[in-house]
Amino acid sequence: MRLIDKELIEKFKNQDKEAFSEIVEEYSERLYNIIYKMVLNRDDSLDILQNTFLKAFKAAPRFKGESSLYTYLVAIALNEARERFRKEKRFLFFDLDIIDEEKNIPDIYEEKEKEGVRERVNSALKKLPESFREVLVLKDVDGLSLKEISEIANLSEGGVKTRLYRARMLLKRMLNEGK
Amino acid sequence: MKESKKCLEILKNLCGYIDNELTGKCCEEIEAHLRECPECRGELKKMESILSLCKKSRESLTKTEKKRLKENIFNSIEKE
Ligand SMILES: [Zn+2]
Repeated sequence: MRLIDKELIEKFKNQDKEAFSEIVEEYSERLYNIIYKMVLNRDDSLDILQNTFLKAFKAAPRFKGESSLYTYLVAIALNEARERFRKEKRFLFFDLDIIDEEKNIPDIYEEKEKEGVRERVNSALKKLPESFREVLVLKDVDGLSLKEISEIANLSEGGVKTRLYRARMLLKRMLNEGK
Repeated sequence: MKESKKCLEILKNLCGYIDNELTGKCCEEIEAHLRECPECRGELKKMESILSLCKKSRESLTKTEKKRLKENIFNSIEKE
């Protein structure tokens, strides 16, 4: 697979389907990971991921390229996730039981250990307020830079740092509680 | 008491230290303190292990889900 280069982005802006297919291929997994950590539910995540790509394709001619294509997609995905919660008036702190539904899905994760880590982290994330969870997921789960996060979250870099610091402290506490 | 005040300051900067944002004097100061203070070293270790848990907790799409995602997206685009 080739890299997401200028030429590909130009094609994307012209709504070239082949180019778009490469973009979906390249970013779907990484975006799914972020979305899942925000909504902590498989079906919703898949749905939001699909909508994210559709919205991005529709808005492609307006993509200015001021940010990277990836951060552009992340911003759309996070908006979709937030909107979903607003619509459903669902509070972002869930019952701890909800997450266990997924234990029964077979053949998805080969390693038991990885599954244990996922569950531990996800139950802790679930207890984090949305805005804290957001910066933590973007930085520590996905690996975006502070600068990229500040663009996505509309915060100063200092603001991101402060929030990230608190989020990590909270996560640490939640992880310890869940032991 | 004096020591714990220093520790608090280190704690505040530990995130930046982990993220490799600190340079020069600040970084050196933290490293010097970490060499002397087992509590702060422990805190650093904990923080690092939490970050590694975060990385390891990655979610992944199954092949079927990915295939269906693409199908849905392109069906939807074709319709418009
Ligand atoms: Zn100390």
